[in-house]
Amino acid sequence: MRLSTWKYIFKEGLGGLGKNFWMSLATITTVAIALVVLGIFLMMATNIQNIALYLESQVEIAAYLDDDFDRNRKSALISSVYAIDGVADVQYVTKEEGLERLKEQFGENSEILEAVEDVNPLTDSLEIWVSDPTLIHEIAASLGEVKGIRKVYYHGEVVEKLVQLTDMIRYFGMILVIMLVLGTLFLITNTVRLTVFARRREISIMQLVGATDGMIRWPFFLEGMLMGFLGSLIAVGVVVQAYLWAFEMISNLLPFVPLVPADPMLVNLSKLLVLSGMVVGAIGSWVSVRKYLRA
Amino acid sequence: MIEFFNVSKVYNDHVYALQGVNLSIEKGEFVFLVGPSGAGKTTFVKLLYRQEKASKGQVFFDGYNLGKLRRKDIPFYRRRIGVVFQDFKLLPQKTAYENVAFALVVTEATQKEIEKKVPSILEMVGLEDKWNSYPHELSGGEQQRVAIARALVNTPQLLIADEPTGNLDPDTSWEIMDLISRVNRMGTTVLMATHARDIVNTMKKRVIALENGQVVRDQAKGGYGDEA
Ligand SMILES: Nc1ncnc2c1ncn2[C@@H]1O[C@H](COP(=O)(O)OP(=O)(O)OP(=O)(O)O)[C@@H](O)[C@H]1O
Ligand SMILES: [Mg+2]
Repeated sequence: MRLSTWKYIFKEGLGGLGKNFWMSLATITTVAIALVVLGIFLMMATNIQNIALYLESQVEIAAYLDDDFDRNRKSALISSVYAIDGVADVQYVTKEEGLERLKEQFGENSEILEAVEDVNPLTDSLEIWVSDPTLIHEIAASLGEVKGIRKVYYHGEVVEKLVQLTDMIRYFGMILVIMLVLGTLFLITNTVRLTVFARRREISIMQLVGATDGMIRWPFFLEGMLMGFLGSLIAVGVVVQAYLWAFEMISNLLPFVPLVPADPMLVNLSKLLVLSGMVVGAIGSWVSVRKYLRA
Repeated sequence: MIEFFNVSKVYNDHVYALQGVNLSIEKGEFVFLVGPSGAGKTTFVKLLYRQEKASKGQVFFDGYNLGKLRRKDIPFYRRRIGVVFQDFKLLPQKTAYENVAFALVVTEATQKEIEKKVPSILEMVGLEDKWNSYPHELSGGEQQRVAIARALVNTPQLLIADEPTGNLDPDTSWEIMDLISRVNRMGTTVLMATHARDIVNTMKKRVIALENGQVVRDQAKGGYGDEA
């Protein structure tokens, strides 16, 4: 097609919004609402996953060393622990540090510990964090084999419950995300389809005058893309504002909840919303126009 | 220029809209297509502008077998003919000027060409002062003039009109007929389906009468009904 034809197509496609003002406004609003719902849900899902991940990262194994453990062998021991599959981090705790911690835990009642101060009954120990809590039994077993480790402690049952919980969160989160994405796509394409339906008579007139499919289709395509874009911009505005507000409120009220920071997440989410708004709007009108072109 | 060879059109496997139609129309002719409602007039013209395909037989335009026309060639074929309807079929969101220009835009005409042709054709149909009016701001007669201007702007060889005066009062109908006659005198073949007895009787043109999908009369300088 000639340049002048493309000019016409752009003028028609982008100017069509004003000419079909109410219809376009309704469509843009629908796109915005659908994407706001999707966006807010995605942010919640991201945060819930984040909390699950955080909880899992808290899973910890304590390994107490032999009474007569030679501290010169400390780094060799740590490397052999690191070598075990699934170990994320290791921290060496001397028995003096261990006592300090106990005192902190006992708080005001720490006098009872003064009695044992000189004859510290503790041994040096290791704190081990795991990368995958489902491996905790295997890791603990391997730790038991390491030379120098006398005893291994961990809360196996609690960890299993936790893993069950986080798995469930992931699973249902995934299903909900898929359902919501499909719902959003359906809603947007259907709305765009209505705008094309309302103008099917125009399509048939254009065909009678001798317009090719492309000349009819491209303006609708651009118009659908533009409506999707405008709707998604509104959605991005609402979603970003809402997250910043919720982030502030939750970090004040529930400071221990690990929230996903706004910065990379909101930028990515905005890109995703704008992209899906445009793509779905454009494809929705493309598909609907095709139906009336063939009618 | 137009030839129908044993043409039948069946809708939904049982509605016989046309049956065994044989006829030919020469370049420059003015032909009325008459007949009672449901006789098959609209179906006849739809075959010509390739809205429908013949179920049996062949329709030729300028030697082209319209039944063999590929889908993607239909727009290019339609640019060679002009079509006018009872309900005008103007694009509601375009002005009179833009409606006419659209027929040129689809041919990828240059801006210069458009600016030259549209005003002169609007002047020819007597609408030089209504360029910027939208269809809903125009009377029925004025809308039909825009539609005729649009049909003519590509200087088609054939003008097809399906009851072009069907929605107009008698005086306005005659104005439109004067316009269409003028187009015919300038060399364009005209095929017009109509129920307007007065017009057919007064103009004394060739009349093809359909009944139940069959040609029952084909008469040079004919009238509308049997009284002619
Ligand atoms: N798309 C269609 N599907 C099914 N039947 C149709 C279709 N179009 C027309 N018909 C039938 O074909 C026959 C001829 O219809 P057509 O519209 O050609 O008549 P007409 O002569 O133009 O009538 P009118 O004077 O009322 O406009 C009628 O019986 C009509 O019901
Ligand atoms: Mg008819």
